[in-house]
Amino acid sequence: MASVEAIGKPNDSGSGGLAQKSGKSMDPCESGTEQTNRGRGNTWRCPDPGCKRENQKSDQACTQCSLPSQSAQQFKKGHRGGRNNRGSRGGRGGGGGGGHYSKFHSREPKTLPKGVDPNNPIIQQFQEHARILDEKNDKYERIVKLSRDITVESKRVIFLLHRITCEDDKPAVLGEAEIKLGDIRKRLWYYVASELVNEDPYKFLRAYTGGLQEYVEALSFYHYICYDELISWEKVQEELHFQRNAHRPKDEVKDPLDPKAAQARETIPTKEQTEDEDAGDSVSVAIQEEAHPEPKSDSSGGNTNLKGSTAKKSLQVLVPKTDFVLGLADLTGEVMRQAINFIGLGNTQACFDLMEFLHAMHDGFLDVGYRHDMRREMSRKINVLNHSLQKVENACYSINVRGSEFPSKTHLADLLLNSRESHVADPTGPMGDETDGPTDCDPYL
Amino acid sequence: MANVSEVFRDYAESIEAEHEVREKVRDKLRVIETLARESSAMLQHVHQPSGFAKIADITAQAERHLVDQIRPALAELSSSVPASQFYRYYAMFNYTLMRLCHLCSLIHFLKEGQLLTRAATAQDWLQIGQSRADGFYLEVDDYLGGLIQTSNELARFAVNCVTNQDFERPVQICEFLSTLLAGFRLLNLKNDNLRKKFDSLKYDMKKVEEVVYDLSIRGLTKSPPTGALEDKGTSPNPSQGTPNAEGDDGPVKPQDG
Repeated sequence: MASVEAIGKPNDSGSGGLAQKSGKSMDPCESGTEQTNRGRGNTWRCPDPGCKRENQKSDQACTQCSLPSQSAQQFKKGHRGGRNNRGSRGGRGGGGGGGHYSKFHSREPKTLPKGVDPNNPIIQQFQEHARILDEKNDKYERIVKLSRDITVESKRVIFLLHRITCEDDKPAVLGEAEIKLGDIRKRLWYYVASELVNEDPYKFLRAYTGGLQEYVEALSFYHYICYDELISWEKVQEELHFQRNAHRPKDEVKDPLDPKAAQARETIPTKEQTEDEDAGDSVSVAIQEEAHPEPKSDSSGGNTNLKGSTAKKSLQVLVPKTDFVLGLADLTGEVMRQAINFIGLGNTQACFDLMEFLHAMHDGFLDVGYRHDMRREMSRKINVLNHSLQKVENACYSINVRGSEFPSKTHLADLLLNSRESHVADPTGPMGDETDGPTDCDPYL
Repeated sequence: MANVSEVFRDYAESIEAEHEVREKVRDKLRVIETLARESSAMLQHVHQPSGFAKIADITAQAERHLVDQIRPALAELSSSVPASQFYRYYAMFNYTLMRLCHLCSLIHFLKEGQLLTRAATAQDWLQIGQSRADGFYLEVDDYLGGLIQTSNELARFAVNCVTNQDFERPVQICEFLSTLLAGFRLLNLKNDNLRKKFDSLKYDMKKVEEVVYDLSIRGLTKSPPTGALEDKGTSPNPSQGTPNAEGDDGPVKPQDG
């Protein structure tokens, strides 16, 4: 027994041990080294999804697919840093690009040229200047991008509004226009406003003045068609006053309002990419709030610019009155176009109404325009206004002249309408009115 | 259309208010402009042989002028600009601010031979803010623009130093400008005003390097400048140096005789 045991033991331990040993040395040992190596960072994994081989750090290329280790590292970096973000933010137009832009800059290490002492106080000072300038330029560019988008979208709204040919078109078209204008506010102005938090809006005014004027033009045109009156500055300013939603997580609310501009710049893009819908919701809530007729005492307070820093949760895009009036000057062009359209459609009365409106606008500009400190833009626009007015006046003149020549024109329209109405109204009943609707105002189509 | 006239009346009121502020700012600005011109005229004397001997007096005088007269005028200007609307009127006074920065940094360089930082310019010299929170403040652009004006002035001064038998100062200026140039190279400039000015800095650098080259080739500098000599070998060649040599004939002759 004992001997057997004794024999068995060493034997067992000998062979088994050997076997175990060899076994260990075959796989667990390897996996052990692999683990420890990985823990220490001595290996790198091939990023090729079809390969994924662990390689020694000393290897210059993957032992399986011979991918150079350097390119593998680059791949890793790109994967961690920009690429993901860019992918997730792709859907969101201009602002997203802006966010990426800033990221690109912050990630780029500042390399000093040869022979420059990094410890030199002057150089350090200039690095600080460079940071400030870059920050400003980046922000400016981001706002310019947004402004360009706003211009394009506002133009679309204007074209949409020109498609109104008669009263019956109005509800549908105006509804669509309102949605589009709301979209512009939520999707574009909101981001402009968050860029302007804790900034002097006049500093970046030149970046967004183009978009603003176009937007005022679209909004006032919409407002004019809706309510038959000129929009007031207070209304425009109030529309561009946003409130952040209070029930969002605290850090989300806080970060962009952080007084540290650099931090705010970093956090706004991340918020955009992760909480895009959330942000949209919060704005829509703000807009709903604004839709209530309760006037906001602080927003109507005029040109106070430090709003972002004083009022904790409200953002706004400042609308300087001059830019507002420049937008109104553009409006006159649209009104002129609409008047001419109406003549084409035979709606001559509308044309006279529009002329009256243009006269009022003209008087307004005469009163205000030729004053001191007038921008060159303004005088140019007043010139355009004069031309528009003349065009409409001539049109109205020829309506009257021709109208007297051919009295049958309107009569004919009336006759046509009446005959058709009586013709259709009988069999279809209430439907008759609707089918007649479009023809009601363009009998010549 | 009652509401149209209402809108325009509202605008007319606001434009009137803005105009008043502008008038006020313009008045204050005119005072500062005059004073700044006086100060520049004072500093011009350093280029002349008569003034060259008493640079210290001139700079002290200019500094006193700056502290006693320009600074209070600037304080008045800053109080006439609404604190939150600095940028609304910024275009009116930014050139003046640039010029004042130039004066400060030039005086400082003539006194100490060093660069005046933005913080020091704003706080100690002009006594205005450094950031938006301070209301009326010194923008980086203005400060940098002022530095470039100083470099233009120093390039001219380097030539006149040689004319006035001072062979050390051009070397000092050369080192100063090369540091300044290195600093400006760190900036990512847009294609704007500052960029154009920056280009002039390069020409100033070249000019001063040529002066130093002319001096060192004739052995007029005591110790060859360390950084400047290396740069110098690349850009100016002797043929480029010749036009300047005319100006150097003066200083060379007395050494011979």
